[in-house]
Amino acid sequence: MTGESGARQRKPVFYGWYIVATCIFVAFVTNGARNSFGIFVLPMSEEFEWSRGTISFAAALGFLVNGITQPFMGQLLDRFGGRRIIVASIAVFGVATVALSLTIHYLFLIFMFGVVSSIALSGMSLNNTGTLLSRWFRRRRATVVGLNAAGLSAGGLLLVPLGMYLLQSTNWRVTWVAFGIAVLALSVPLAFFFLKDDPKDMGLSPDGDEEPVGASSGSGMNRIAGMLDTDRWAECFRSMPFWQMTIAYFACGYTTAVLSVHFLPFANSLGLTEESEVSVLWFQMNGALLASFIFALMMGLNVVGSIGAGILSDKFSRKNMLALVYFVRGSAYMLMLAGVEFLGLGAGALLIFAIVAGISWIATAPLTTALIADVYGVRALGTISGVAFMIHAFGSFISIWVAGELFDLTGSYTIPFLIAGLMLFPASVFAFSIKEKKYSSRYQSAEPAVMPAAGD
Amino acid sequence: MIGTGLWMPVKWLGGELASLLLRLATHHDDIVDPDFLAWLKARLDHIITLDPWVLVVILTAIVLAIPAGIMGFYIYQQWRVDYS
Repeated sequence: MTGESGARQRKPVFYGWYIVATCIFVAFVTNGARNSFGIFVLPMSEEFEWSRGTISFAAALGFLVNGITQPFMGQLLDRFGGRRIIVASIAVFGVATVALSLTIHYLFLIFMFGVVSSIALSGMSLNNTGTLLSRWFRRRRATVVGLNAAGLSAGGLLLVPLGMYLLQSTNWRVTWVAFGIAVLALSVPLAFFFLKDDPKDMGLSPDGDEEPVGASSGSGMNRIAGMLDTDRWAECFRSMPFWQMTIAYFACGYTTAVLSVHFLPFANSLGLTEESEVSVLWFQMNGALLASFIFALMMGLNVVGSIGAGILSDKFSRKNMLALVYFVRGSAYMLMLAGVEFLGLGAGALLIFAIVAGISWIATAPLTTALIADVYGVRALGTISGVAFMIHAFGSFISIWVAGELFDLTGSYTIPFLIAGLMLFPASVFAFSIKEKKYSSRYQSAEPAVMPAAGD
Repeated sequence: MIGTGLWMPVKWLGGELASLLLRLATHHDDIVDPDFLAWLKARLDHIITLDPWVLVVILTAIVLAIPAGIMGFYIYQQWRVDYS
């Protein structure tokens, strides 16, 4: 092991990468199980003779509870550390998932899925795992949060079909138990074994770097702070970057939910769900095949976009990358509407949208989380980031409602999608106008420059 | 009047909020849309013709391989460092 012996010393992989892999897997399994809820609606409603509205109520309540509890679970993480909160949340989520197999009354379903499972999901959300990862990485912060976000998409892509085929082969109770056991037997031990709160606890620095010049021994790189660095989350409300980021994030929530929720009726209106030949740009294709291809393409590009935006923003300006992502998504909406309304492209417009928008779909999450960490530091990051996620959820919640009402009024998705597209250009301007070089710790020297948060 | 005022939040929570949530649910939450998932399943069945159990085994193996891979890599790294 010593240099004197001449033996080649092997440097182990930085421990933070095990935390990244664990967070990806946790996101993969838990969100996969959560997003599979839709496959249980039909069998459960048939067995208990419930209306779809009854079961949908549990999901809608869960969506709201999950959004509202993000800041509170973030604050718990800031206070008690990531390991305890995330492991406990996964365990509660797993038990709640197994318990759903015992459903005999709709109130039990509403309580277990809409309340218990949703609160637990907040505890291990991208907000909390992103906060933990931000403590382990500084230079590659957006890359690792982007990888984590990609795990969310991958979970839906793999576990929803797994749930479908398991349900087809068994029944809904066995499928809930299988998902719960997957969470309890795989995610809990992995998280318990690998997750650690802070690199300092293991004598390491973020990114596995050596101690920075000018930092006192054992202080870790957390001491490189921006001027808005704070341990009091409420102080972020007094500074501009928080509002610039969260107003843009509201638009993000609005514009992602509006299409994911209304994708099927919109695809229907373009003839994609029929077993017929559809015209795609200059080609004739089977509608069903094209629909599957578009969906898979968009999911795949989500993963590419999330990781790609993270890597690029770790090399270049984060706020410029964030502004670009909003601009690209806004342009995708406009291209799609122009293609359908004026150019008569039909299904081809949806294909163009899938390519352009797919890249930007979840790329905002790692960029926003990393930018918040760079500007406000990591000590109150769980809470601040949780507030931003809550505002994102409000955007989603409002969009589903507003778009549905507008469709009922106009009989078309043109106006809801036009509103969504137009929201993204001001969001891009908000992101672009963030004074990143002034506030971000990435552009500060090693000397601490902590001041109370009262930015311009 | 005071009594009515006190009941308003409860009424809103129990009535208006529930109504709003149900209204939202009728427009489909992205995690609950059974039509979309049934549509997706039909598309998958159109492309993949394997027995459902075979697909369950394949997908489960992929899920199991991830934590096993992480653990295996960690053990290998520990062994590699100790050995060197």
